Amino acid sequence: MLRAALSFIAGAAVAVAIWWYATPAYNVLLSRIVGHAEASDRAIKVSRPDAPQIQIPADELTYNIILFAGLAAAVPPRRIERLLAAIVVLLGFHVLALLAAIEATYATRAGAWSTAHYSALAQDFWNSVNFIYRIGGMFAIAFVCWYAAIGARGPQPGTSKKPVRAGQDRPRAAKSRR
Amino acid sequence: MPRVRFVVVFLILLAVFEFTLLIDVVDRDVVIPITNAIAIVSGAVIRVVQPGVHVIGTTISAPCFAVDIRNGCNGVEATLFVVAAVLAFPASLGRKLIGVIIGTALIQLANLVRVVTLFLIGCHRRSWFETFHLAVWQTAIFAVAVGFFILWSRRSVPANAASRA
Repeated sequence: MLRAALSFIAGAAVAVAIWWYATPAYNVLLSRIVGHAEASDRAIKVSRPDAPQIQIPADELTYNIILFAGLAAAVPPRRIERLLAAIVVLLGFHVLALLAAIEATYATRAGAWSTAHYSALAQDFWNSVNFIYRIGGMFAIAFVCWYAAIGARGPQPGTSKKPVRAGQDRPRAAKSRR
Repeated sequence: MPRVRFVVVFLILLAVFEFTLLIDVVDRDVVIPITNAIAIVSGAVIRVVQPGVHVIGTTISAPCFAVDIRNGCNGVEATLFVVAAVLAFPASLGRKLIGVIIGTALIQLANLVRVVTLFLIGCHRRSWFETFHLAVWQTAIFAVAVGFFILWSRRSVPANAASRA
């Protein structure tokens, strides 16, 4: 357990450094994917046609990579393709989160323009999506990506913690089958 | 399939729990009183090492720095994460109750350390505050949540689970 905790701290520390220094370049990539956007250091400026310019603190949407890296360092996936697939999914959610943050900002923080272009329901929807992602959803996504990548090494609903030795009986399990 | 079911139920529960935080009456009558209590306890701890600390509502202030504890910094979101994971995991009701109680206490204890250290960082190393506020402590709180869930789930597997796997 101590080893896993230390591995987590080491993995997370490396990820903090990567996240901190790579964010400006990563924002360039994200801004190209979402379109009508330009990276501005740790933020992304969005200038849609016929809409006011807004700024998204994009670094606040991507730091769940730190939790993922820590977990992957503590309990690494055995298969590299699972790890890569999990990272791709995680980065895919960064794009979706940025799109949601853009919509939420246009819907609720652009003054009269917001109320003219978004209904009350649409404003509530985008605000809720943005809030749920940022408040805990981003960490849930990191956890689920790691959980899926490690396969049988993680918490196993429906399996026993202790390995069963050859010839060892499970009285209660046998009873439940009767 | 139990793994997929766990993930789906966990995500649905978490979304529902977090959505309730957006409801005004929940925020006013549940979240803010909890946050006020966190601010009072945190302020009392900070006073031990930092003189001149005052707590008004959810704000802790001193001559050197002030913080307003809001959603995302009160540990409620990580608590809901643990509760959703524990409830989604197939364990007995008693085990789930123990998981929810201990998990909540653990998260709030970790959050107390977060608020106190963030305040002291704000006082003495202001330039470090944003990095610690976002990247370090938010990650650490959820790491505590995930770590607790893993340990709890290893001790909470149903006794007859092997026959169903």
